[in-house]
Amino acid sequence: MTEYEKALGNDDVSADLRTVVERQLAGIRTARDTINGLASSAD
Amino acid sequence: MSGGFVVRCASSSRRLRLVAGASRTAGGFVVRCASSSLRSSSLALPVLLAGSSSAALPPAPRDSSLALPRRARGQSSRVPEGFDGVEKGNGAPVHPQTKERVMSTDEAVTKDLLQTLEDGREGYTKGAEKLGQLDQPALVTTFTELAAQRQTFADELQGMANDYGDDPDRSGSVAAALHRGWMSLTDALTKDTPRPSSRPLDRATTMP
Repeated sequence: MTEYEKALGNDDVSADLRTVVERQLAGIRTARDTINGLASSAD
Repeated sequence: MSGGFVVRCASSSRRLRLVAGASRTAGGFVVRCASSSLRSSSLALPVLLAGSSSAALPPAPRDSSLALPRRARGQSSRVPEGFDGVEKGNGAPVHPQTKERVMSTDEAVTKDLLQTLEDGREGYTKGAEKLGQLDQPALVTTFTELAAQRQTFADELQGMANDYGDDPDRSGSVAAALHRGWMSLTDALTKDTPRPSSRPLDRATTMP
């Protein structure tokens, strides 16, 4: 579990921070997919 | 809203405004929070009055610096462990024994996220450097963009924290620093020569 996922699992995190974390995590997951695609093509 | 008293929320270190209808309880005061997300609810929060005595509450100054925050953040009802309602210096709660400042949940989470993002940024930056040695300009561009994305995310979180007077440490984690030191050492000892493999990519996928 990443720090982002841990943050979203923390019920004490405020709504404002949660909104930012959710949006950033979506961007990170997209980037991760990009990297995985590059790794697959390199193999 | 005019009148009332400015108080500090023990769990978030935010200034709230004590409004009509607030009352004192054994655990502190019942405060009607004037923030947007909690406007219609009352919270039982241990609070620290702006003044030193509840019997001599000062009127709320008409000072813009004491205005309510524009966003509600860290309004959790959970009080940080060890908090005794004492604040010093910058107004942050302090631990009764260690006298160290107690972080709010949001501040602690933000600190962890900033460390993760910093680790990721450094990892992608170093990956881009190594890929540059492999003459892979497309990959270098991708890794550089990802490093920039982590920087942007970190700046956003840091700016959000700054808005609320938080001061999360932004340096990378100790574990990551040790790992980077180890990698540098092994590179130096083995005179690491970049190879055209997916190893850097595999490592990057474990990054945030």
